[in-house]
Amino acid sequence: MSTPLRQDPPPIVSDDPARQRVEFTTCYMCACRCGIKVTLQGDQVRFIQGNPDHPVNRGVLCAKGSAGIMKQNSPAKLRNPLLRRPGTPRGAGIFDAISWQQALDLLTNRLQRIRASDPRKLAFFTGRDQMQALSSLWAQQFGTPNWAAHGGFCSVNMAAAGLYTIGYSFWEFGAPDWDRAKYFMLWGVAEDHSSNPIKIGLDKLKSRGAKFVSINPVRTGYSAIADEWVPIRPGTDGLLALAMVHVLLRRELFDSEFLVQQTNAPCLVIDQPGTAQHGLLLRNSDGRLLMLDQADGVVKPATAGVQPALFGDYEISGKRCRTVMSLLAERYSGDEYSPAAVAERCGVSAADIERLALEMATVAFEQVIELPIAWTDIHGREHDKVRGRPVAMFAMRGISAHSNGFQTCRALHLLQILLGALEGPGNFRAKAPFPRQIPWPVLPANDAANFGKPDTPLTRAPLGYPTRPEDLAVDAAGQPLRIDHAYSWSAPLAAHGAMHSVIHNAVRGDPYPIDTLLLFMANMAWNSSMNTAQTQDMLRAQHTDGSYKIPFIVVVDAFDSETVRFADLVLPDTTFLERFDAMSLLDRPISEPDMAADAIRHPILKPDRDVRPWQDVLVELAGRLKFPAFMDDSGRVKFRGYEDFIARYERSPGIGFLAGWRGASGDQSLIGEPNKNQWQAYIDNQGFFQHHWTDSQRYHRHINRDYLEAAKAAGFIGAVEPITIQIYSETLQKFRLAGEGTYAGPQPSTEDERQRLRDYFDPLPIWYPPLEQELTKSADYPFHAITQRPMMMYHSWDSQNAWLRQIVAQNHLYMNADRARELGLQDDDWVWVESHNGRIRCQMRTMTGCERNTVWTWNAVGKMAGAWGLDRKSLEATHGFLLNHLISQSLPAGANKFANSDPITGQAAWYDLKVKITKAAPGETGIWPKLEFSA
Amino acid sequence: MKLGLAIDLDTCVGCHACAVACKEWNGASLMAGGAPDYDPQGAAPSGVWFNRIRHYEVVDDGTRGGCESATRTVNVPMSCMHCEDADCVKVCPTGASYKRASDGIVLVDPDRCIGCNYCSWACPYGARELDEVAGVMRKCTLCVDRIYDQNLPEAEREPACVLACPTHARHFGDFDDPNSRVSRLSAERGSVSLMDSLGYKPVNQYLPLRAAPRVDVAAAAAKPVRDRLRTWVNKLIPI
Amino acid sequence: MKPAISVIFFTVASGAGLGLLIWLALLLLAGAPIDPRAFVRVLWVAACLVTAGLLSSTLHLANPKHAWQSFRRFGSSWLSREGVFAVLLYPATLFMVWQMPGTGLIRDLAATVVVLLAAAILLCTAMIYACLKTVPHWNNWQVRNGMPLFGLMSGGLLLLALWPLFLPDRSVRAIVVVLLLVGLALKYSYYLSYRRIGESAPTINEALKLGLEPGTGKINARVRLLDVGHAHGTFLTREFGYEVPRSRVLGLRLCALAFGFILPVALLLWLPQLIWLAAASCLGGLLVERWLFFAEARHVVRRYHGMPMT
Ligand SMILES: Nc1nc2c(c(=O)[nH]1)N[C@H]1C(S)=C(S)[C@@H](COP(=O)(O)OP(=O)(O)OC[C@H]3O[C@@H](n4cnc5c(=O)[nH]c(N)nc54)[C@H](O)[C@@H]3O)O[C@H]1N2
Ligand SMILES: Nc1nc2c(c(=O)[nH]1)N[C@H]1C(S)=C(S)[C@@H](COP(=O)(O)OP(=O)(O)OC[C@H]3O[C@@H](n4cnc5c(=O)[nH]c(N)nc54)[C@H](O)[C@@H]3O)O[C@H]1N2
Ligand code: SF4
Ligand code: SF4
Ligand code: SF4
Ligand code: SF4
Ligand code: SF4
Ligand SMILES: [Mo]
Repeated sequence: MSTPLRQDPPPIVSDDPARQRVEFTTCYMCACRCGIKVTLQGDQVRFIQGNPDHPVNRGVLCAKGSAGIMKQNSPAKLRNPLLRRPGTPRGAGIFDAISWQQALDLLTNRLQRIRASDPRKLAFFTGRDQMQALSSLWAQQFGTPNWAAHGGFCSVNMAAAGLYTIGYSFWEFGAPDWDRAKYFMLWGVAEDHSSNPIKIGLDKLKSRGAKFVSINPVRTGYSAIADEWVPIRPGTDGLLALAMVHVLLRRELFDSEFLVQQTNAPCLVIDQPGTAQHGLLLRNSDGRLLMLDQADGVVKPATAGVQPALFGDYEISGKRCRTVMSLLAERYSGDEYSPAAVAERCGVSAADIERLALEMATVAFEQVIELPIAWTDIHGREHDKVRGRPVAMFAMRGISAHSNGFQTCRALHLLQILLGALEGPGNFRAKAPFPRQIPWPVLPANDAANFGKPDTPLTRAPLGYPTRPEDLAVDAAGQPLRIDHAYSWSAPLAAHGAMHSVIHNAVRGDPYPIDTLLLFMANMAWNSSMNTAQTQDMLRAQHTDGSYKIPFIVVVDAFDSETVRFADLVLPDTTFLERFDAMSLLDRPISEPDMAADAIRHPILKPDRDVRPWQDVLVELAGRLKFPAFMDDSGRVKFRGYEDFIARYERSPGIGFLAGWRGASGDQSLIGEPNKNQWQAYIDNQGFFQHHWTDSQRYHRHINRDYLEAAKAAGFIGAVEPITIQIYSETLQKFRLAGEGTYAGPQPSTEDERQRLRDYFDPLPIWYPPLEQELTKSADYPFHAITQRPMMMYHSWDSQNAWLRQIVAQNHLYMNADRARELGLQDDDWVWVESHNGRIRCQMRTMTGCERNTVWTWNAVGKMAGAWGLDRKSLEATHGFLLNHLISQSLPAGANKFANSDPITGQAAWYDLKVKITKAAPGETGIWPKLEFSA
Repeated sequence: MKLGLAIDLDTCVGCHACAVACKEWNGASLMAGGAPDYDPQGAAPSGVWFNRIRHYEVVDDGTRGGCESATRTVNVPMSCMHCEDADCVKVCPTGASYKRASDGIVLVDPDRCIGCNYCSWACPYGARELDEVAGVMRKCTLCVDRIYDQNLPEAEREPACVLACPTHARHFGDFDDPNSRVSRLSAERGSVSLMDSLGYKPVNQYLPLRAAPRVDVAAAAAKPVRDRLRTWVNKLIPI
Repeated sequence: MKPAISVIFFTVASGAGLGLLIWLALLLLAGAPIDPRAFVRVLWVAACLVTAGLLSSTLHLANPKHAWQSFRRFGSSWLSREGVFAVLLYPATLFMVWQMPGTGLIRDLAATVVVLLAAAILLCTAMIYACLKTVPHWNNWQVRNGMPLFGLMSGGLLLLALWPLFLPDRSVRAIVVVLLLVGLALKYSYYLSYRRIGESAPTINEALKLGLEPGTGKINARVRLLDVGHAHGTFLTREFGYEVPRSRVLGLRLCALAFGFILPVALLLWLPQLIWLAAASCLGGLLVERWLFFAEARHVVRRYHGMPMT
C-alpha cells in the first residue's frame, strides 16, 4: 500500500515579522569573528544566523554560533560585582554582592597605590582579549610591563616563526587560497581560529578536485575528510618537513627565481667562527645586505638588475662567505635528512615522504597557474600576468603546542619558500595589515631604568619583536624584568608574553612579588593552566603570617567560571550581544587576503543584570587613574567610555581603531580623521568594513609596488621597500652568538641559558625532539598525550550551554585500537594515565584513526563540580577530565628551572606530554582527581 | 515536487552546526512547535533534536597500509528522509503523521497527535522524537516554515541546517526536477539511499566518499638525484 | 524496545479477554448448554480484561486528549483498525448478550460478529507489531500468529477456570491443550530463530551505505561507531536502546515457556482441579513472554547507534 497523502497542507505559520527586528553584529562564541544576523523578538533573541554578506563566514554558522542564544540565556551569567566575604578563604567562592561604585572605588584605590609606588606590581593579563590594542595601551599608561594576552599559551611560536620568516603567519595573519590551490597540506589543525573559513575552504578544494593532505596523529574533523591522512608521531613534523626539503633539493626542485627575488637566499653568510661576525650576513657600511652579482663578480646591495649568485663560497675582503642557499643546500641534502633516516621517528614511511614531496613539486612546477593580471614589482618592472604555484599549506597547534614549534614552523615555511608557493594564486596568502617587515619592527618595552617608576607610563608598549639580545627585557644581571619571564634569556622571542607562567612566578616572587593580579577572560584556575590542581594551590598559597602570596586577585568574567571562584574581586562583564567591541586592524581584524577588513559589535540587548562592559570599565579606570593618553591638555578626562574612545582615539594622526568611514564626513577608508558617526556607519553596514585590494595589489605583496605603497599609506608598514623573506634569521644567529660567548653585547650569565641559545637558535630551521619528550624516557611513558578542540565547544565556556552540552559532556581518552588490544584495554575501561608530573583516572575509548603511540582527548570538557551553573553531578564534573593535571609547568628534573615551553618564544608546550596507561582496578571508576567547590 | 536534502559524506566534518541550527530554528518555531530541552543544566540533560550527527570509522583491515590506507572517519548527519513509502505515515492511527501531496514533506499535525510513539517505531532512521512536554511527536519539517515564507529574502528560503552548514555539505531541492542542484549532484556523484533494503524509498540522498585525487609524480621522480657534494649551477636571475 | 508496563499489561490482558470472549461466543454458536447468569458473569470478566487492557494502553499515550482521532487511518494503520474494531466490539457484545436468551439466526449472527471482531482485534494487535519492518524480531510469522494464538489459549484457560462446568468437557480442554502445545512450539521456534532474525537485519554497512564494494554491494570494510554524538540518553536510546541483561535472558525465556505453556499443559492433563493455577501460571508466563517480546526486540535504528541487533 502506498503512503496516504494529505492534500490540504495547513497554512504556513511563520513568525510575525512585524514583532521582530533584525540586527547585524559579530559572533563571539569563539574568536573566529563571523558576522551574524540576529533576529530579536522583544528583548529575546529569536534566531541567530550567519550573515551572507560577511567576508569571514559568508552566511554559514557553526554549532557554537547557533547556540549563542543559549549562552545569552545561561544561568551561569554573573549578575553583580562580587567581593570575597571577609573571613572566608580564597577559592571557597563565597562572595558578597557589591555595587559598581564600591567595586571601582576599591579597585581605583588599590591601583592608585600600586601605580604611585611600583607600577610593576600590577600584573594585568587579558586572556582571550579581542581588544589587545586597548589593553596594551592601558598597561603601558599604567606603567607596568606585566601585561600580555593569551598568545603565549596559544600559538606564539607559530605567530613568531611566521613574522620572523615570511612577514605574515599561519596564526591569524594569512589564509590559503581556497579558490585556486590544487594541493593543500594541513599540518596539525583540528579547528583553528578561522574555523568557518577553513570549512568553507575545504569544501571548495574538494569540489574542485584539489588534493587535500592532512598531517595529524588523529583522524577526526578536517582530517576525516582529507584525501590522504598522514598519521605522524607528535612532535616530529619539523623532521618530516625537512626530509621533504631534502627530497626537493636533491632533485633540484625549487623555485630559483622566487629565492632570488623574494628571499635572503643569495645573501652572504660570514664564516668566521669564534668572532662576533660569525654567521651574520654581509652588509655594506650603510647596513645594507650584500650579494654577489654574477655579471661582474662584485658584491653589491640588492638593487634591480643585479643577478646574484644563489650558490657560492667566496672569499670577500678576507672573509669567507657562503650564500644562505649554499648553506641550506649543504645542510638539508645531507643523509640525516633523508626520508629513510627520519621515517621511523616520524612514523611515516620513506616512500610516502618522498611521494608527498614530489606531489607538491609536481603541482608547484607543472600545474602553474597564470592569471591575466598586470602588476608592477617594487623595482618598477611591469608584469602582464601573475604566476602561481598552486600548493597551499596551513598549520596550527599540532605544530605550535610543541617546544620545537618555532623551528618546526620555520621548516614548513622553508618548504613553501623552496616551492615558491607563498603569496601567489593558489598559495598561503597574507591578510592585511600583513605582510610586514621581518620581523615586524616593534620592540618590546625593556627600558629597565624606567620600569617601576611611580606614576610613569612605559616608553613603549609592553610587547614587541626583539631583533637582538639588546632588545630583551632583562636587567644588567640577566634577570627577567617581567613577571612572566617573557623576553628573558629563557624565552627571548616571547612576542605574546607568557601568561601561563604568571601565577607560578608571582607566587615564588620571581623576579619580584606582585600586589595585584588582574585577569580578564581567561580561566587560569582551570583549563588554561598547566598543572591545574597545583595552580589552584598556588592561588590559595599563603605566607606564614596568613597573607596571600598573591595579595589580591581581580577577575573580570561574564560567567561563573572556576577562576571566578578564586577571585577577591569579581567584575562581571556583559555578553557579546550587550556591548561595543572593535575587531581592529591594530589587533586581530577580519581581513581576508583580498581585502583589509575590520568589524564591530554593538549592544543589541540591554543587560538584565548589574554588569558593565569591561572595555568601558578600562576606559573609566584610565580616567580615574589619570593616564596621560586619556587626559586632555586641561587635565580633564578625554573619553566618555569605550564607544567614544574608539571613535576618537588616534594612535598616530589619521589612524584609529576602526578603519572604515573615517574623515569628518565619513568618506575616507583606512586613514582619516575621526568621524563622530563612525559607529553608526558600521551599524548601518552590517557591522563590518572592507577595503578591497585592486587586482594589481593582490599578489606577491612582498615585492608588489602598488600594494606596498597602499600599505604604507594606510600605516601598515613604515616604508615602500621590498619585504625580504628570511630563510636565514640573523636575529637567531645573534642569540646563538650570545650563547657561544662571542656576541658583542649582552649575554646570558648561566651556562644552561647559553647552552639553550646554542642548541635551539639555529639561523636555519632545525628539528630537535620536544624538550619534555626528550627528558622523559619512552620506555616509562610510551604514549604521546594530546588534546583536540571539539568543533561544537569553545574551551571551558560552552559546557554551560544547554544545547552544546547535550552533544558532548564527557571526554574520553582515545587510543589506537590495536595498541589497546595489545594492552588488554577496551572501550569504556577506566584507566590511569600517568606522566612524570602526576596521574589522573579517566575513561577510554578505542579508534583506528589514531597514531599508534598517541592518545588524545577533547580539550576543556571536564569541569570543576559546582562551577558554571551546572548540577554538581553533571557528567562534566564526574566523568569529564583535564589532561592539564599531567602537564608540568617546568621541564622534568635535569632542566628544572626552565618552563615547559618553547625555548625560543616561551610558547607553552601542551602537546609534549608523554604518559603511560594502565587499567584501573575493578571498582575504580569515576575521574580522579575530582575537584569540587564546596556546596 | 519531491523536496529533500542531499548530504555530502565526503565533505561533512561532523561539526554539528546543522543540528544546532535546526534546534535553534525549530526550538521556537511555531510550525514545528518546539524542540524542548529537559533539565538542560542538570546532571543528565536531554532534549528533542530533529537532526543528529553520528561519527563512524570505516576500517580497512590492513590491506593497504601507510598513508593511503582506506581507513576513514565518516560523519553522518541524519534527519527525516521524507520517505516516499513512509510507514511512519501509514501506521499513525490519527493521521497526525502525514505526507504532503504537493511536495512530499512528511509532517506531524500536533492537533491530532496522541503521542503514541508508534510512528517513531516505524521509522528506521530515528528521525522522530517525542516532545515530552507537549506530548506530541516532533520531526524535521524540512523547514516548511522557511522554504515558502515570502517574508524571508529569497536566498534564505532554505532549511536552517542547509544555510548554516560550514562545508556546504547539505543541499536542498526538488528531486523531481532533474535539473535541480540536488538531482544533478546525486546523478554526478552516484548518490545512495540509506538502508534502502527496507523499502521506504527515502528521498534524502547521501553523496558518497569521493576517490582521492592522484598526482602523477613520474616526471618529478625521474629527475636525477643529485649527489650532495656536487657544485650547484647558478642561473642568471635578476633581482 | 522499551518494555512499557502499560503495553505489556494491555496485550496480555486484552489478549486473554478477547480470547475468552471468542470462546464464549463460540460456545453460544456451538449451542452448548449455557446458564445465562454464568455466561454474563464470565463475559464480565472478559469485558473487564479487554477494557482494562485498552485503558492501560492509553496510559502510554503522551497526549490522550486526542485519542478520539485515532480512527482516522483505518485504511492504513493497524493501530487505528484495532481501535475501530475495539469500539465496535462493545455494541456487538452487548447485542449478543441481549440476544442471548433467544436462539436462532440473530443470536448466531451476533456471536459470529463478536468472534470476528475479537479475532480481528487480536490480529490487529499482532499486526501492530508484526507489520514493522524496522523491528525484525516482530516482523515475522511467529509474531503475526503468536498473539492471537496466545489470546485464545489464555482465554481458554480462563474459561475453564471461571466456568469449571466445561472442565470435564474433553473437547474444550483438548483444544486448549493443543493451543498451548502449538503456542509452545511457536514460541520455542521464535527463541531458536531469535539470533538468526537479528543477524538478517540490515547491517551497519547497509544502514550507512559505507564499506560496501561498489557494484556488488559486498561488505569490504568494517564499519564501527566512533561517537554517537549525544552526551546522555535521547528519545531514541530510551525507546530503542533497551538491553536485557544477557545473564537473565535464558532464565526469563525458560520462565516464559515453563509458566506460560508447559505447566498449564501439565496441570490440565494431570491435575485439572488446579485449573486456577494453570490459568494464573499461563497469564504470569505470558507477562514474562510479553516483557521479553519487547525487551528483546531490536529496532534497526540501533545500527546507527552501533548497538547489536542480537
Ligand atoms: N590541555 C590543554 N590545555 C590547553 C590547551 C590545549 O590544547 N590543551 N589550549 C590552550 C589554548 S591555545 C588556549 S587559548 C587556552 C584557552 O583557555 P582560556 O583562555 O582560559 O579560555 P576559556 O576556557 O575560553 O576561558 C575564558 C574565560 O572567558 C570567559 N568569558 C567568555 N565570554 C566572556 C566575555 O564576554 N567577557 C568576559 N570578561 N569573559 C568572558 C569565560 O567565562 C572563561 O572563564 O587553553 C590552553 N590550555
Ligand atoms: N570549536 C573550537 N574552536 C576553537 C577553539 C575551541 O576551543 N573550540 N579554540 C580556539 C583556539 S584558542 C585555538 S588556539 C585554535 C586552535 O586550533 P587548532 O590548532 O586546530 O587546535 P587543536 O585542537 O589544538 O588542534 C591541534 C591538532 O593538531 C594535532 N596534533 C597534535 N600534535 C601534533 C603533532 O605533533 N603534529 C601534527 N601534525 N599534528 C598534531 C591534533 O591531533 C589536533 O588535531 O582553535 C580555536 N578555535
Ligand atoms: S566560528 Fe562559530 S562561534 Fe566562532 S565566531 Fe564563527 S560562528 Fe561564532
Ligand atoms: S525518515 Fe522516518 S520519519 Fe521520515 S519519512 Fe521516513 S520513515 Fe517517516
Ligand atoms: S505519535 Fe502522533 S504522529 Fe506518531 S503515530 Fe502517534 S499519533 Fe501519529
Ligand atoms: S530541514 Fe529544517 S527541520 Fe529539517 S533538519 Fe534541517 S533545519 Fe531541521
Ligand atoms: S553542518 Fe555540515 S559539516 Fe557540519 S555536521 Fe552538519 S552536514 Fe556535517
Ligand atoms: Mo588558543
